[in-house]
Amino acid sequence: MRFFNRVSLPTPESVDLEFALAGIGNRALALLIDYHVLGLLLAIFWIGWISFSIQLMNFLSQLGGDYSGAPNWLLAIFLLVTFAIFTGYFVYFEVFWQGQTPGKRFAKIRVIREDGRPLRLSQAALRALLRPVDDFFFLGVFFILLDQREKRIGDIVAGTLVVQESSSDPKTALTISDEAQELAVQLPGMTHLAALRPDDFAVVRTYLQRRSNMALLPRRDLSMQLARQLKALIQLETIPTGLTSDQFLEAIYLAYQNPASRP
Amino acid sequence: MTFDSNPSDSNPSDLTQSLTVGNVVNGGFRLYRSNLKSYLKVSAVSTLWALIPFLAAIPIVLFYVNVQRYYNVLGLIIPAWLVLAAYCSAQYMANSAAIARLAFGELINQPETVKTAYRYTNARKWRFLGMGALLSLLYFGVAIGMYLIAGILIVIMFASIGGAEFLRSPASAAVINPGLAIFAALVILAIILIFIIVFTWFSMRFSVAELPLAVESDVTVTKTIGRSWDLTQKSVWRIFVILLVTFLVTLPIQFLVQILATVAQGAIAAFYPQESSIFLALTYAFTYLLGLATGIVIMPLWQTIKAVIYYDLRSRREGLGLQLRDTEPLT
Repeated sequence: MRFFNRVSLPTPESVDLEFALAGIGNRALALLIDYHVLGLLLAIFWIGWISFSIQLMNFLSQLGGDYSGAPNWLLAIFLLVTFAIFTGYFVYFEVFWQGQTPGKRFAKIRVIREDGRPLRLSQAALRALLRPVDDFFFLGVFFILLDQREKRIGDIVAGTLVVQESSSDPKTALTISDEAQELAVQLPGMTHLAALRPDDFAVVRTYLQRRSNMALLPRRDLSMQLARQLKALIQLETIPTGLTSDQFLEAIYLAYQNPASRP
Repeated sequence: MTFDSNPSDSNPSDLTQSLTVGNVVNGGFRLYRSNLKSYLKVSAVSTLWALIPFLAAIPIVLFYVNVQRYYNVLGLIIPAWLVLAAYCSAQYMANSAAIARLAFGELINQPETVKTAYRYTNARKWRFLGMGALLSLLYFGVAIGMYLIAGILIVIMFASIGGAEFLRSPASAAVINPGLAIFAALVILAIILIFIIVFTWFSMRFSVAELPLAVESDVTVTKTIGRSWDLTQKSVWRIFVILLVTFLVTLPIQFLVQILATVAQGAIAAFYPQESSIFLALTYAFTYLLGLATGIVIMPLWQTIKAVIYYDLRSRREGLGLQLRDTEPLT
Protein backbone atom coordinates (compact mmCIF):
# COMPACT_ATOMS: atom_id res chain seq x y z
CA MET A 1 0.00 0.00 0.00
CA ARG A 2 1.53 3.27 -1.10
CA PHE A 3 0.24 6.52 0.23
CA PHE A 4 0.92 8.72 -2.77
CA ASN A 5 1.40 8.72 -6.52
CA ARG A 6 4.91 8.84 -7.86
CA VAL A 7 6.30 10.45 -10.96
CA SER A 8 9.72 9.95 -12.43
CA LEU A 9 11.20 12.77 -14.42
CA PRO A 10 13.84 12.08 -17.04
CA THR A 11 16.77 14.50 -16.92
CA PRO A 12 19.20 15.46 -19.71
CA GLU A 13 21.81 13.42 -17.88
CA SER A 14 19.51 10.45 -18.45
CA VAL A 15 19.10 9.96 -14.74
CA ASP A 16 15.51 9.57 -13.69
CA LEU A 17 14.45 11.70 -10.78
CA GLU A 18 11.70 10.17 -8.71
CA PHE A 19 9.25 12.30 -6.80
CA ALA A 20 6.28 11.49 -4.63
CA LEU A 21 3.39 13.71 -5.60
CA ALA A 22 2.00 15.85 -2.81
CA GLY A 23 -1.51 14.41 -2.87
CA ILE A 24 -4.79 16.08 -2.07
CA GLY A 25 -4.31 15.81 1.70
CA ASN A 26 -1.04 17.71 1.86
CA ARG A 27 -2.22 20.31 -0.61
CA ALA A 28 -5.46 20.94 1.25
CA LEU A 29 -3.54 21.25 4.50
CA ALA A 30 -1.08 23.71 2.94
CA LEU A 31 -3.90 25.77 1.49
CA LEU A 32 -5.74 25.78 4.81
CA ILE A 33 -2.69 27.29 6.49
CA ASP A 34 -1.83 29.68 3.66
CA TYR A 35 -5.36 31.07 3.46
CA HIS A 36 -5.37 31.68 7.18
CA VAL A 37 -2.07 33.56 7.03
CA LEU A 38 -3.30 35.42 3.97
CA GLY A 39 -6.61 36.21 5.66
CA LEU A 40 -4.72 37.65 8.61
CA LEU A 41 -2.54 39.80 6.34
CA LEU A 42 -5.56 41.05 4.40
CA ALA A 43 -7.48 41.79 7.59
CA ILE A 44 -4.58 43.86 8.91
CA PHE A 45 -4.40 45.79 5.64
CA TRP A 46 -8.15 46.28 5.43
CA ILE A 47 -8.48 47.58 8.97
CA GLY A 48 -5.48 49.83 8.47
CA TRP A 49 -6.67 51.15 5.12
CA ILE A 50 -10.22 51.79 6.20
CA SER A 51 -9.17 53.71 9.28
CA PHE A 52 -6.65 55.63 7.18
CA SER A 53 -9.35 56.45 4.62
CA ILE A 54 -11.76 57.68 7.26
CA GLN A 55 -9.15 59.94 8.81
CA LEU A 56 -8.04 61.22 5.42
CA MET A 57 -11.61 62.09 4.44
CA ASN A 58 -12.10 63.86 7.76
CA PHE A 59 -8.94 65.81 7.16
CA LEU A 60 -9.93 66.69 3.60
CA SER A 61 -13.40 67.84 4.61
CA GLN A 62 -11.79 70.22 7.07
CA LEU A 63 -9.68 71.69 4.27
CA GLY A 64 -12.74 72.45 2.18
CA GLY A 65 -12.60 72.23 -1.58
CA ASP A 66 -13.91 69.51 -3.86
CA TYR A 67 -12.47 66.11 -3.04
CA SER A 68 -15.42 64.03 -4.23
CA GLY A 69 -13.09 61.95 -6.42
CA ALA A 70 -11.00 60.84 -3.45
CA PRO A 71 -13.17 57.89 -2.28
CA ASN A 72 -12.90 56.31 -5.73
CA TRP A 73 -9.15 56.59 -5.60
CA LEU A 74 -9.05 55.15 -2.12
CA LEU A 75 -11.22 52.26 -3.25
CA ALA A 76 -9.09 51.66 -6.32
CA ILE A 77 -5.90 51.54 -4.26
CA PHE A 78 -7.66 49.29 -1.77
CA LEU A 79 -8.62 46.80 -4.49
CA LEU A 80 -5.20 46.94 -6.13
CA VAL A 81 -3.34 46.30 -2.90
CA THR A 82 -5.74 43.50 -1.93
CA PHE A 83 -5.08 41.85 -5.27
CA ALA A 84 -1.34 42.42 -4.87
CA ILE A 85 -1.32 40.81 -1.43
CA PHE A 86 -3.39 37.83 -2.60
CA THR A 87 -1.22 37.15 -5.63
CA GLY A 88 2.04 38.45 -4.24
CA TYR A 89 1.90 36.20 -1.18
CA PHE A 90 2.12 33.04 -3.28
CA VAL A 91 4.47 34.47 -5.90
CA TYR A 92 6.86 35.91 -3.33
CA PHE A 93 7.12 32.78 -1.24
CA GLU A 94 7.16 30.30 -4.11
CA VAL A 95 9.98 32.19 -5.80
CA PHE A 96 12.09 33.02 -2.77
CA TRP A 97 11.46 29.87 -0.77
CA GLN A 98 12.16 27.50 -3.68
CA GLY A 99 8.58 26.62 -4.42
CA GLN A 100 7.31 26.69 -0.87
CA THR A 101 4.86 28.88 0.99
CA PRO A 102 4.45 28.82 4.78
CA GLY A 103 1.62 26.31 4.37
CA LYS A 104 3.59 24.14 1.97
CA ARG A 105 6.60 24.21 4.25
CA PHE A 106 4.44 23.00 7.11
CA ALA A 107 2.94 20.25 4.95
CA LYS A 108 6.44 19.38 3.66
CA ILE A 109 5.57 19.87 0.00
CA ARG A 110 7.09 21.99 -2.75
CA VAL A 111 6.27 23.23 -6.26
CA ILE A 112 8.75 22.30 -8.96
CA ARG A 113 8.86 22.61 -12.71
CA GLU A 114 7.96 19.61 -14.81
CA ASP A 115 11.63 18.96 -15.50
CA GLY A 116 12.39 18.88 -11.77
CA ARG A 117 14.07 22.26 -11.64
CA PRO A 118 13.10 24.97 -9.19
CA LEU A 119 10.24 27.31 -9.89
CA ARG A 120 10.81 30.69 -11.56
CA LEU A 121 8.88 33.92 -11.38
CA SER A 122 6.84 33.25 -14.51
CA GLN A 123 5.54 29.88 -13.29
CA ALA A 124 4.83 31.20 -9.82
CA ALA A 125 2.95 34.14 -11.31
CA LEU A 126 0.87 31.91 -13.58
CA ARG A 127 -0.03 29.62 -10.69
CA ALA A 128 -1.00 32.58 -8.53
CA LEU A 129 -3.02 34.30 -11.24
CA LEU A 130 -4.95 31.14 -12.06
CA ARG A 131 -5.61 30.37 -8.39
CA PRO A 132 -8.97 32.20 -8.41
CA VAL A 133 -10.00 30.07 -11.39
CA ASP A 134 -9.09 26.91 -9.48
CA ASP A 135 -10.91 28.15 -6.42
CA PHE A 136 -14.01 28.94 -8.46
CA PHE A 137 -16.48 26.13 -7.71
CA PHE A 138 -13.52 24.24 -6.21
CA LEU A 139 -12.45 23.32 -9.74
CA GLY A 140 -8.87 22.78 -8.60
CA VAL A 141 -9.86 20.03 -6.17
CA PHE A 142 -11.55 18.03 -8.90
CA PHE A 143 -8.58 18.51 -11.19
CA ILE A 144 -6.16 17.35 -8.50
CA LEU A 145 -8.31 14.34 -7.65
CA LEU A 146 -8.84 13.25 -11.23
CA ASP A 147 -5.57 14.16 -12.96
CA GLN A 148 -2.91 11.49 -13.10
CA ARG A 149 -0.26 13.98 -12.07
CA GLU A 150 -2.49 15.86 -9.66
CA LYS A 151 -2.34 19.13 -11.55
CA ARG A 152 -4.79 21.92 -10.99
CA ILE A 153 -5.43 24.33 -13.87
CA GLY A 154 -2.64 26.64 -12.68
CA ASP A 155 -0.21 23.72 -12.68
CA ILE A 156 -1.23 22.63 -16.16
CA VAL A 157 -0.74 26.10 -17.60
CA ALA A 158 2.47 26.87 -15.72
CA GLY A 159 3.90 23.40 -16.27
CA THR A 160 4.51 22.70 -12.62
CA LEU A 161 4.17 19.79 -10.23
CA VAL A 162 3.61 19.75 -6.49
CA VAL A 163 5.76 17.10 -4.83
CA GLN A 164 6.64 15.95 -1.36
CA GLU A 165 9.88 17.07 0.19
CA SER A 166 12.34 14.23 -0.01
CA SER A 167 12.27 13.80 3.72
CA SER A 168 15.69 13.27 5.06
CA ASP A 169 15.62 10.94 8.02
CA PRO A 170 14.49 12.81 11.06
CA LYS A 171 17.68 13.10 12.97
CA THR A 172 16.17 12.54 16.32
CA ALA A 173 19.04 12.00 18.64
CA LEU A 174 18.77 8.51 20.03
CA THR A 175 19.55 8.22 23.68
CA ILE A 176 21.86 5.32 24.22
CA SER A 177 22.70 4.08 27.68
CA ASP A 178 26.24 3.57 28.95
CA GLU A 179 25.67 -0.16 29.36
CA ALA A 180 24.73 -0.40 25.69
CA GLN A 181 27.83 1.50 24.64
CA GLU A 182 29.99 -0.93 26.58
CA LEU A 183 28.27 -3.91 25.05
CA ALA A 184 28.49 -2.41 21.57
CA VAL A 185 32.26 -2.55 21.77
CA GLN A 186 32.24 -6.24 22.63
CA LEU A 187 29.42 -7.36 20.35
CA PRO A 188 31.35 -7.62 17.07
CA GLY A 189 33.76 -10.05 18.66
CA MET A 190 31.07 -12.12 20.33
CA THR A 191 28.57 -12.49 17.54
CA HIS A 192 27.84 -12.81 13.89
CA LEU A 193 26.68 -9.24 13.24
CA ALA A 194 27.09 -9.62 9.50
CA ALA A 195 23.99 -11.80 9.52
CA LEU A 196 21.94 -8.65 10.00
CA ARG A 197 20.53 -7.05 6.90
CA PRO A 198 19.96 -3.32 6.41
CA ASP A 199 16.23 -4.01 6.77
CA ASP A 200 16.73 -5.47 10.22
CA PHE A 201 18.84 -2.51 11.19
CA ALA A 202 16.12 -0.16 9.94
CA VAL A 203 13.59 -1.91 12.16
CA VAL A 204 15.84 -1.57 15.21
CA ARG A 205 16.51 2.07 14.46
CA THR A 206 12.84 2.83 13.95
CA TYR A 207 12.00 1.15 17.22
CA LEU A 208 14.62 3.21 19.05
CA GLN A 209 13.30 6.38 17.45
CA ARG A 210 9.69 5.70 18.26
CA ARG A 211 9.88 4.04 21.62
CA SER A 212 9.52 7.24 23.67
CA ASN A 213 6.04 7.76 22.22
CA MET A 214 4.93 4.18 22.61
CA ALA A 215 2.50 2.88 25.16
CA LEU A 216 4.17 1.03 28.01
CA LEU A 217 2.95 -2.54 27.51
CA PRO A 218 3.25 -2.85 23.72
CA ARG A 219 6.66 -1.23 23.95
CA ARG A 220 7.89 -3.81 26.44
CA ASP A 221 6.51 -6.69 24.39
CA LEU A 222 7.96 -5.39 21.15
CA SER A 223 11.33 -4.73 22.71
CA MET A 224 11.49 -8.25 24.15
CA GLN A 225 10.37 -9.77 20.89
CA LEU A 226 12.90 -7.86 18.78
CA ALA A 227 15.70 -8.65 21.22
CA ARG A 228 14.87 -12.36 21.18
CA GLN A 229 14.68 -12.48 17.40
CA LEU A 230 17.91 -10.54 16.97
CA LYS A 231 19.68 -12.75 19.47
CA ALA A 232 18.80 -15.74 17.32
CA LEU A 233 19.76 -13.96 14.12
CA ILE A 234 23.24 -13.00 15.26
CA GLN A 235 23.71 -16.35 17.00
CA LEU A 236 24.27 -14.96 20.44
CA GLU A 237 23.91 -17.55 23.18
CA THR A 238 22.47 -15.35 25.89
CA ILE A 239 21.92 -11.67 26.35
CA PRO A 240 24.49 -10.54 28.94
CA THR A 241 22.90 -10.53 32.37
CA GLY A 242 21.72 -7.29 33.86
CA LEU A 243 20.86 -5.78 30.50
CA THR A 244 17.35 -4.81 29.50
CA SER A 245 16.10 -5.68 26.05
CA ASP A 246 16.13 -1.99 25.17
CA GLN A 247 19.80 -1.71 26.09
CA PHE A 248 20.55 -4.79 24.01
CA LEU A 249 18.81 -3.22 21.01
CA GLU A 250 20.73 0.01 21.53
CA ALA A 251 23.98 -1.96 21.55
CA ILE A 252 23.08 -3.72 18.32
CA TYR A 253 22.20 -0.38 16.77
CA LEU A 254 25.56 1.08 17.76
CA ALA A 255 27.63 -1.94 16.81
CA TYR A 256 25.96 -2.33 13.43
CA GLN A 257 26.33 1.35 12.68
CA ASN A 258 30.05 1.20 13.28
CA PRO A 259 31.54 0.10 9.94
CA ALA A 260 34.48 -1.57 11.63
CA SER A 261 32.16 -4.24 12.93
CA ARG A 262 30.93 -5.17 9.47
CA PRO A 263 32.91 -7.30 7.03
CA MET B 1 -4.91 -9.74 16.29
CA THR B 2 -6.73 -11.90 13.86
CA PHE B 3 -4.31 -11.06 11.10
CA ASP B 4 -0.99 -12.88 10.94
CA SER B 5 1.63 -10.98 12.79
CA ASN B 6 4.04 -11.55 9.97
CA PRO B 7 3.17 -9.73 6.77
CA SER B 8 5.34 -11.29 4.14
CA ASP B 9 5.85 -8.49 1.69
CA SER B 10 5.85 -5.38 3.80
CA ASN B 11 8.31 -2.81 2.63
CA PRO B 12 10.58 -1.71 5.44
CA SER B 13 11.26 1.68 3.90
CA ASP B 14 7.55 2.39 4.20
CA LEU B 15 7.34 1.72 7.86
CA THR B 16 10.33 3.71 9.00
CA GLN B 17 8.28 6.87 8.95
CA SER B 18 5.13 7.83 10.74
CA LEU B 19 2.56 9.38 8.47
CA THR B 20 2.13 13.13 8.25
CA VAL B 21 -1.33 14.68 8.49
CA GLY B 22 -1.53 15.16 4.73
CA ASN B 23 -0.39 11.65 3.97
CA VAL B 24 -3.02 10.12 6.24
CA VAL B 25 -5.63 11.93 4.15
CA ASN B 26 -3.86 10.85 0.96
CA GLY B 27 -3.85 7.26 2.17
CA GLY B 28 -7.57 7.37 2.84
CA PHE B 29 -8.26 8.74 -0.62
CA ARG B 30 -6.01 6.20 -2.32
CA LEU B 31 -7.61 3.29 -0.52
CA TYR B 32 -11.06 4.53 -1.46
CA ARG B 33 -10.08 5.15 -5.03
CA SER B 34 -8.54 1.75 -5.60
CA ASN B 35 -11.55 -0.04 -4.08
CA LEU B 36 -14.22 2.34 -5.28
CA LYS B 37 -16.73 -0.20 -6.51
CA SER B 38 -16.66 -2.63 -3.63
CA TYR B 39 -16.69 0.09 -0.96
CA LEU B 40 -19.56 1.89 -2.68
CA LYS B 41 -21.54 -1.34 -2.75
CA VAL B 42 -21.05 -1.97 0.95
CA SER B 43 -21.81 1.67 1.69
CA ALA B 44 -25.06 1.48 -0.30
CA VAL B 45 -26.16 -1.65 1.55
CA SER B 46 -25.23 -0.04 4.83
CA THR B 47 -27.23 3.11 4.06
CA LEU B 48 -30.25 1.07 2.99
CA TRP B 49 -30.22 -0.67 6.36
CA ALA B 50 -30.25 2.70 8.05
CA LEU B 51 -33.20 3.67 5.88
CA ILE B 52 -35.45 0.72 6.75
CA PRO B 53 -36.70 1.95 10.14
CA PHE B 54 -37.84 5.21 8.55
CA LEU B 55 -39.51 3.43 5.66
CA ALA B 56 -41.26 1.18 8.16
CA ALA B 57 -42.42 4.17 10.16
CA ILE B 58 -44.13 5.81 7.19
CA PRO B 59 -47.01 3.31 6.77
CA ILE B 60 -47.51 3.15 10.55
CA VAL B 61 -47.82 6.91 10.80
CA LEU B 62 -50.04 7.09 7.72
CA PHE B 63 -52.26 4.35 9.10
CA TYR B 64 -52.85 6.10 12.40
CA VAL B 65 -53.28 9.49 10.80
CA ASN B 66 -56.00 8.11 8.53
CA VAL B 67 -57.72 5.54 10.74
CA GLN B 68 -57.32 7.23 14.14
CA ARG B 69 -58.26 4.01 15.99
CA TYR B 70 -56.64 0.86 17.34
CA TYR B 71 -54.31 2.93 19.53
CA ASN B 72 -53.93 0.05 21.98
CA VAL B 73 -51.99 -1.90 19.31
CA LEU B 74 -49.32 0.79 19.57
CA GLY B 75 -48.12 -0.94 22.72
CA LEU B 76 -47.01 -3.74 20.43
CA ILE B 77 -45.99 -1.75 17.40
CA ILE B 78 -43.64 0.66 19.16
CA PRO B 79 -41.49 -2.03 20.83
CA ALA B 80 -41.45 -3.95 17.56
CA TRP B 81 -40.31 -0.84 15.73
CA LEU B 82 -37.60 -0.23 18.34
CA VAL B 83 -36.30 -3.77 17.89
CA LEU B 84 -36.29 -3.27 14.14
CA ALA B 85 -34.45 0.05 14.52
CA ALA B 86 -31.85 -1.55 16.79
CA TYR B 87 -31.31 -4.44 14.40
CA CYS B 88 -30.99 -2.11 11.42
CA SER B 89 -28.57 0.18 13.25
CA ALA B 90 -26.45 -2.83 14.14
CA GLN B 91 -26.47 -3.90 10.50
CA TYR B 92 -25.55 -0.37 9.43
CA MET B 93 -22.60 -0.32 11.80
CA ALA B 94 -21.43 -3.81 10.86
CA ASN B 95 -21.45 -2.85 7.19
CA SER B 96 -19.62 0.42 7.64
CA ALA B 97 -17.13 -1.27 9.96
CA ALA B 98 -16.51 -3.83 7.23
CA ILE B 99 -15.19 -1.03 5.01
CA ALA B 100 -12.81 0.07 7.76
CA ARG B 101 -11.68 -3.52 8.23
CA LEU B 102 -11.09 -3.95 4.48
CA ALA B 103 -9.05 -0.74 4.40
CA PHE B 104 -6.95 -1.74 7.37
CA GLY B 105 -6.32 -5.18 5.88
CA GLU B 106 -4.91 -3.51 2.83
CA LEU B 107 -2.72 -1.21 4.91
CA ILE B 108 -1.01 -4.16 6.56
CA ASN B 109 -0.75 -6.01 3.27
CA GLN B 110 -3.32 -8.63 4.17
CA PRO B 111 -6.26 -7.77 1.98
CA GLU B 112 -9.53 -9.61 2.45
CA THR B 113 -12.59 -10.11 0.31
CA VAL B 114 -15.66 -8.07 1.11
CA LYS B 115 -17.41 -11.29 2.10
CA THR B 116 -14.90 -12.33 4.76
CA ALA B 117 -14.65 -8.82 6.15
CA TYR B 118 -18.42 -8.52 6.39
CA ARG B 119 -18.73 -11.98 7.94
CA TYR B 120 -16.30 -10.88 10.65
CA THR B 121 -17.97 -7.57 11.46
CA ASN B 122 -21.49 -8.93 11.08
CA ALA B 123 -20.76 -11.54 13.74
CA ARG B 124 -20.02 -8.61 16.05
CA LYS B 125 -22.91 -6.39 15.04
CA TRP B 126 -24.48 -6.33 18.52
CA ARG B 127 -21.19 -5.26 20.00
CA PHE B 128 -21.03 -2.41 17.47
CA LEU B 129 -24.50 -1.40 18.54
CA GLY B 130 -23.46 -1.60 22.19
CA MET B 131 -20.44 0.53 21.40
CA GLY B 132 -22.63 3.11 19.70
CA ALA B 133 -25.00 3.17 22.65
CA LEU B 134 -22.18 3.46 25.18
CA LEU B 135 -20.54 6.25 23.18
CA SER B 136 -23.83 8.14 23.06
CA LEU B 137 -24.11 7.78 26.82
CA LEU B 138 -20.55 9.01 27.27
CA TYR B 139 -21.14 12.04 25.07
CA PHE B 140 -24.37 12.67 26.94
CA GLY B 141 -22.50 12.50 30.22
CA VAL B 142 -19.84 14.89 28.99
CA ALA B 143 -22.50 17.31 27.81
CA ILE B 144 -24.39 17.14 31.12
CA GLY B 145 -21.16 17.70 33.03
CA MET B 146 -20.28 20.67 30.88
CA TYR B 147 -23.75 22.18 31.26
CA LEU B 148 -23.54 21.80 35.03
CA ILE B 149 -20.16 23.48 35.22
CA ALA B 150 -21.20 26.22 32.81
CA GLY B 151 -24.44 26.75 34.71
CA ILE B 152 -22.67 27.08 38.05
CA LEU B 153 -20.10 29.46 36.57
CA ILE B 154 -22.75 31.64 34.99
CA VAL B 155 -24.80 31.79 38.19
CA ILE B 156 -21.73 32.76 40.22
CA MET B 157 -20.83 35.40 37.69
CA PHE B 158 -24.35 36.72 37.46
CA ALA B 159 -24.49 37.06 41.22
CA SER B 160 -21.09 38.71 41.44
CA ILE B 161 -21.93 41.45 38.96
CA GLY B 162 -25.09 42.36 40.84
CA GLY B 163 -27.54 40.03 39.16
CA ALA B 164 -29.50 39.57 42.37
CA GLU B 165 -30.13 43.30 42.48
CA PHE B 166 -31.23 43.18 38.88
CA LEU B 167 -33.72 40.40 39.58
CA ARG B 168 -35.22 42.30 42.49
CA SER B 169 -35.74 45.49 40.53
CA PRO B 170 -34.97 45.34 36.80
CA ALA B 171 -35.37 49.08 36.64
CA SER B 172 -32.12 49.48 38.52
CA ALA B 173 -30.26 47.65 35.73
CA ALA B 174 -28.71 50.95 34.78
CA VAL B 175 -26.75 50.77 38.02
CA ILE B 176 -24.83 47.78 36.69
CA ASN B 177 -21.41 48.71 35.47
CA PRO B 178 -21.44 48.33 31.63
CA GLY B 179 -17.81 47.21 31.77
CA LEU B 180 -18.84 44.31 33.94
CA ALA B 181 -21.64 43.41 31.57
CA ILE B 182 -19.21 43.26 28.67
CA PHE B 183 -16.89 41.19 30.80
CA ALA B 184 -19.76 38.80 31.54
CA ALA B 185 -20.54 38.47 27.85
CA LEU B 186 -16.90 37.66 27.15
CA VAL B 187 -16.89 35.02 29.87
CA ILE B 188 -19.98 33.40 28.36
CA LEU B 189 -18.29 33.39 24.96
CA ALA B 190 -15.23 31.81 26.54
CA ILE B 191 -17.41 29.15 28.18
CA ILE B 192 -18.99 28.31 24.82
CA LEU B 193 -15.54 28.10 23.25
CA ILE B 194 -14.27 25.83 26.02
CA PHE B 195 -17.40 23.72 25.62
CA ILE B 196 -16.64 23.23 21.94
CA ILE B 197 -12.97 22.45 22.62
CA VAL B 198 -13.75 19.91 25.34
CA PHE B 199 -16.36 18.21 23.20
CA THR B 200 -14.00 18.07 20.22
CA TRP B 201 -11.29 16.67 22.45
CA PHE B 202 -13.58 13.87 23.61
CA SER B 203 -14.74 13.07 20.09
CA MET B 204 -11.14 12.76 18.96
CA ARG B 205 -10.40 10.39 21.82
CA PHE B 206 -13.30 8.18 20.68
CA SER B 207 -12.66 8.68 16.98
CA VAL B 208 -11.28 5.22 16.16
CA ALA B 209 -13.49 3.28 18.57
CA GLU B 210 -14.95 0.97 15.95
CA LEU B 211 -11.59 -0.10 14.53
CA PRO B 212 -10.34 -2.36 17.34
CA LEU B 213 -13.69 -4.14 17.35
CA ALA B 214 -13.55 -4.54 13.58
CA VAL B 215 -9.94 -5.70 13.48
CA GLU B 216 -8.68 -7.19 16.72
CA SER B 217 -9.89 -10.38 18.32
CA ASP B 218 -11.44 -10.73 21.77
CA VAL B 219 -12.59 -7.14 21.96
CA THR B 220 -15.55 -6.20 24.06
CA VAL B 221 -17.66 -3.07 23.89
CA THR B 222 -15.78 -1.34 26.69
CA LYS B 223 -12.41 -2.58 25.50
CA THR B 224 -12.80 -1.18 22.00
CA ILE B 225 -13.61 2.27 23.41
CA GLY B 226 -10.72 1.94 25.85
CA ARG B 227 -8.39 1.05 22.98
CA SER B 228 -9.43 4.18 21.10
CA TRP B 229 -8.85 6.19 24.26
CA ASP B 230 -5.35 4.77 24.75
CA LEU B 231 -4.27 5.00 21.12
CA THR B 232 -5.35 8.60 20.63
CA GLN B 233 -3.71 9.77 23.85
CA LYS B 234 -0.92 11.83 22.30
CA SER B 235 -2.53 12.61 18.96
CA VAL B 236 -5.78 14.44 19.68
CA TRP B 237 -5.06 17.60 17.70
CA ARG B 238 -3.30 15.78 14.90
CA ILE B 239 -6.41 13.67 14.41
CA PHE B 240 -8.49 16.83 14.53
CA VAL B 241 -6.47 18.40 11.71
CA ILE B 242 -6.70 15.17 9.69
CA LEU B 243 -10.49 15.11 10.00
CA LEU B 244 -10.70 18.85 9.30
CA VAL B 245 -8.64 18.54 6.11
CA THR B 246 -10.75 15.56 5.02
CA PHE B 247 -13.89 17.56 5.63
CA LEU B 248 -12.51 20.44 3.56
CA VAL B 249 -11.76 18.14 0.66
CA THR B 250 -15.29 16.72 0.75
CA LEU B 251 -16.77 20.23 0.61
CA PRO B 252 -16.52 20.45 -3.19
CA ILE B 253 -18.50 17.21 -3.45
CA GLN B 254 -21.22 18.59 -1.20
CA PHE B 255 -21.11 21.77 -3.23
CA LEU B 256 -21.57 19.81 -6.45
CA VAL B 257 -24.59 18.10 -4.90
CA GLN B 258 -26.04 21.49 -4.01
CA ILE B 259 -25.70 22.60 -7.61
CA LEU B 260 -27.37 19.40 -8.81
CA ALA B 261 -30.24 19.94 -6.38
CA THR B 262 -30.72 23.51 -7.58
CA VAL B 263 -30.63 22.48 -11.21
CA ALA B 264 -33.14 19.69 -10.57
CA GLN B 265 -35.41 22.09 -8.73
CA GLY B 266 -35.30 24.39 -11.74
CA ALA B 267 -36.07 21.50 -14.06
CA ILE B 268 -39.02 20.35 -11.95
CA ALA B 269 -40.26 23.93 -11.78
CA ALA B 270 -40.32 24.01 -15.56
CA PHE B 271 -42.95 21.24 -15.59
CA TYR B 272 -45.01 21.91 -12.49
CA PRO B 273 -46.06 25.21 -10.93
CA GLN B 274 -43.98 26.03 -7.85
CA GLU B 275 -47.00 26.08 -5.53
CA SER B 276 -48.31 22.67 -6.53
CA SER B 277 -47.98 19.79 -4.12
CA ILE B 278 -46.41 17.66 -6.86
CA PHE B 279 -43.58 20.18 -7.16
CA LEU B 280 -43.01 20.06 -3.42
CA ALA B 281 -43.16 16.28 -3.27
CA LEU B 282 -40.80 15.86 -6.23
CA THR B 283 -38.23 18.36 -4.94
CA TYR B 284 -38.31 16.86 -1.47
CA ALA B 285 -37.94 13.35 -2.84
CA PHE B 286 -35.14 14.35 -5.16
CA THR B 287 -33.24 16.33 -2.51
CA TYR B 288 -33.64 13.44 -0.12
CA LEU B 289 -32.36 10.88 -2.61
CA LEU B 290 -29.47 13.15 -3.49
CA GLY B 291 -28.60 13.48 0.19
CA LEU B 292 -28.72 9.70 0.51
CA ALA B 293 -26.46 9.29 -2.52
CA THR B 294 -23.99 11.81 -1.09
CA GLY B 295 -23.94 9.89 2.16
CA ILE B 296 -23.25 6.67 0.31
CA VAL B 297 -20.37 8.28 -1.57
CA ILE B 298 -18.78 10.04 1.41
CA MET B 299 -19.15 7.40 4.12
CA PRO B 300 -16.42 5.04 2.79
CA LEU B 301 -13.99 7.96 2.74
CA TRP B 302 -14.46 8.53 6.47
CA GLN B 303 -14.06 4.81 7.07
CA THR B 304 -10.81 4.59 5.10
CA ILE B 305 -9.48 7.74 6.77
CA LYS B 306 -10.27 6.26 10.18
CA ALA B 307 -8.54 3.04 9.17
CA VAL B 308 -5.41 4.95 8.20
CA ILE B 309 -5.52 6.96 11.44
CA TYR B 310 -5.85 3.73 13.42
CA TYR B 311 -2.99 2.16 11.46
CA ASP B 312 -0.79 5.18 12.03
CA LEU B 313 -1.65 5.35 15.73
CA ARG B 314 -0.83 1.70 16.17
CA SER B 315 2.49 2.09 14.46
CA ARG B 316 3.27 5.09 16.63
CA ARG B 317 2.01 3.73 19.91
CA GLU B 318 2.60 0.00 19.47
CA GLY B 319 5.21 -0.30 16.77
CA LEU B 320 2.80 -2.03 14.41
CA GLY B 321 4.74 -3.34 11.43
CA LEU B 322 8.08 -3.29 13.20
CA GLN B 323 8.85 -6.91 12.40
CA LEU B 324 12.09 -8.55 11.53
CA ARG B 325 11.99 -10.53 8.28
CA ASP B 326 10.80 -14.09 8.20
CA THR B 327 11.30 -14.67 11.86
CA GLU B 328 9.62 -17.65 13.38
CA PRO B 329 6.34 -16.85 15.10
CA LEU B 330 6.72 -16.19 18.75
CA THR B 331 5.32 -18.50 21.30
